[in-house]
Parts: sequence; structure tokens; C-alpha cells
Amino acid sequence: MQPFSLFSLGGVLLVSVEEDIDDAGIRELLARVSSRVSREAISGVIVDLHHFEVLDSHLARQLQALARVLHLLQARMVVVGLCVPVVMTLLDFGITLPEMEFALDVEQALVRLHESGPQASGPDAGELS
Amino acid sequence: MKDISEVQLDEGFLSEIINAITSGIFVTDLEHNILMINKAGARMVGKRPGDCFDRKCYDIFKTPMCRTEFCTCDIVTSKDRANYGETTMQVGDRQVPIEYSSRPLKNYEGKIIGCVENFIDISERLEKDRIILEQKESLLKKREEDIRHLQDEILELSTPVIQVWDGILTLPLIGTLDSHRAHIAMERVLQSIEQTRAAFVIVDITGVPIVDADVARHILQTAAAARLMGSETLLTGVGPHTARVISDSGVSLENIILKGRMTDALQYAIAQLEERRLQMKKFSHFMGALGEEGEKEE
Repeated sequence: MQPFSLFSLGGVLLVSVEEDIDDAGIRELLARVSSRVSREAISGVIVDLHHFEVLDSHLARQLQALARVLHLLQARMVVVGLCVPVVMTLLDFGITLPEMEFALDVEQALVRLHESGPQASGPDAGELS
Repeated sequence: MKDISEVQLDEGFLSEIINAITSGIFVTDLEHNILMINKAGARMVGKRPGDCFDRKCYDIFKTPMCRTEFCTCDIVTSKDRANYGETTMQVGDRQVPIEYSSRPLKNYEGKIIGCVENFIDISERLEKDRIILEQKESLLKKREEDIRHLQDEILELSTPVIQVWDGILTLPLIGTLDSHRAHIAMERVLQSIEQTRAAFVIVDITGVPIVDADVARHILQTAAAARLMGSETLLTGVGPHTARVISDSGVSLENIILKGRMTDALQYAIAQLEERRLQMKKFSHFMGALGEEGEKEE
């Protein structure tokens, strides 16, 4: 079984990632998401991480890479579903994921993607930790 | 009635005096034979003076020091000096704590011929000391508990996270903000965000008297955490002094939306929420589809 699943929500792609995703899985995810974004003219990608109880720095870097790829493809990426322990660990390691956007849940993410318009702003490149 | 000055100080009267003393007194020769013991001393070991004469002192007193290098008789007779200490003697099957002092006994030529020792029972004193110590300890323990309880209470009081509106949390900070408190506040905020799904967190620092670079960093950290959860952080209550300090410290507050007063922050947040609600209505058909999708996912 695939360690992630993709749902199309008309212009927005919802990516739900399982916790046991490995390197090969991440590569596969990057390839599939980016090809679908460019083929179907998708303006926003919501990455749902609520299955994760732990998020290591490696995966955080992969997510950053995905965000950059999507930025180059003129799509916005919103991460949802980070739980408290994950957030605390990320901050303890000094990881603030500055190039990404976050939302409380998929619903809020959708609102966010629609409110400022698909092309309005990419990831806030100027943000520092 | 005879005056005491008329009494002749002969041997018999001296022994009367020695027997009247309440602490134990005994004399041994160099071979540890007891030459003399007064009534109080004999009573303390549960014997009569007559039972102790010509017996070895270590058979009578049975202290842990007897017949070791710490024997006080040997010390005073070999070194020609006084010796003091505390030990226990065995009376029946009971250990009695005593305090003793010994001195060498010399004849008219100045030659050491034995040892004079006097001792008192200190079990009552030790018992009293123990009770006092116990009381002190329990008092100290209680006070420590009280202090810890108060600290917890203060910590609890000092980091309240209040939901003032649907989707808006406030964190009014009062008092000094150290890293411990900041950490607790952050954890509280995150938990509250998770529970209430609040899109906005308003941090108010009107009540923080000293805002320095560290405090600013703590607030920034909280904002970063809230951002990862998907909430936005607003900061209110920044006075002119605080503004200067933050500006001088070089900490940039770019993840944070600054508002002058709590009212402004609330108005801003409510307006934003309202806008989002309208957006959501626009895409209601969308949400319906999403709801079904979400159910499948669960």
C-alpha cells in the first residue's frame, strides 16, 4: 500500500501522508505531486500530517524541498495537522519551516488558499526563524 | 544541728560525698580492675557497688570501645591527658548512651597508677534532641511543600489561556517571564489551539514589567509554534519602553502581527474570522465534498 494518498478537490490537491513513509515513498510523493500540479494546473496543495506523532529533521527537509518545488510550479503549499508534540520537537531542534504555510485543518487550509487567491503570494521567502 | 564546717573531712565522709553525686564515677588500676565505683555509677549498670569491685571494667560496662585501641583508660594512662567522648554501654540487653570523661590517676610521686572516669546517662538528652530534630524536619518539609504548592499555583495563575471568542485565544502575561514560564505558556497555548481550533492567539504583555531580548525571543518562539499549528499570533500591550528595548535588541517580530491595544487585536481577529466565514460559504459546495472525503479518511 502506498504511504500517501492524493485527493483532488478541484484546483486543490490534498495529500495525506502516512507516518511510515520512507525515502522511496517521499521521492515517489514528490514526483507524483509535482507532475499532477503541473499537468492539472493545480494552484494549491494541502499536506495533511495528522498521522504523524514524530517528525524528524530529514522529513522536515523533504517537506521544504516539496514546498520549493511547488513554489517553482506556481502552487501554494499549506501544511495541516501538526500535533503539539511534533511542534514542540520541531522548535526544540530549531526547525521553523519558514517557507511553508500552516493551517489548523483542511477546511481552514482551503479557505486560506482561496482567500488570497492562487497567484497572490507564494511562500513568504523573507521570513526568518 | 551540726554545721557542715564542723564535720571532719575524713575518708568516710569523702566517700559519702562521692556516693551522693548523681553521675557515675569509678577508678581503675592499670590492669582495668575497678578499685572503686560510686552508687550512681553502679546503679546505671544495674548493679550494686559491691558487685563491681575487683572486676574488669570492660566486663561491667561493655562499650564498643572496650578492649580496643580506643579504650579511654589506656589512652589517658599512656598519654597522660584527659579524654572525653560519647559511647554506649550495654546494660542487660539494652544499649544506654553515655557521655564520659577520664583522667589519669597519679600517686604522691606523680606516677600514673590508674584512671578516674565519670560518666552520665544521656539517653534522655538524645531523645530530646531527636524529637527536636524531627520537629524541625517536619516543619521544614511542610514549609517546602507549601512553597512548592504556591509556586505551582502561581505558575497556574500566571499563564492563563482564555478563549474570548470562537477561534480567538488570549494569553495575558503578567509578571516576569523566564524561560520556564515561557515554555509552560507555549505548551498551554499549543494545547488550547489543538482543543479549540483557534485561528488567532492574542498575546498581551501589558503586565510584563521587564521586556528584554530574552522575553521577546520567548514570545517569538510561541508565535513560531502557533504558526506551525496553523494559527496566527497577535501581540498587544507593547509600550514605548518595550518598543525601544525590542528595537535595540535586534529581535525581529516578523511572524507576529502587532496591535496597539487588545481591542484593536480583537477587532482585527474578528474581522478576519468573519471574512474567512464568508469565504467558506462561497465554497460551501466544496466543503460538502470535502466533508464526505474526510469521513472516508477517518
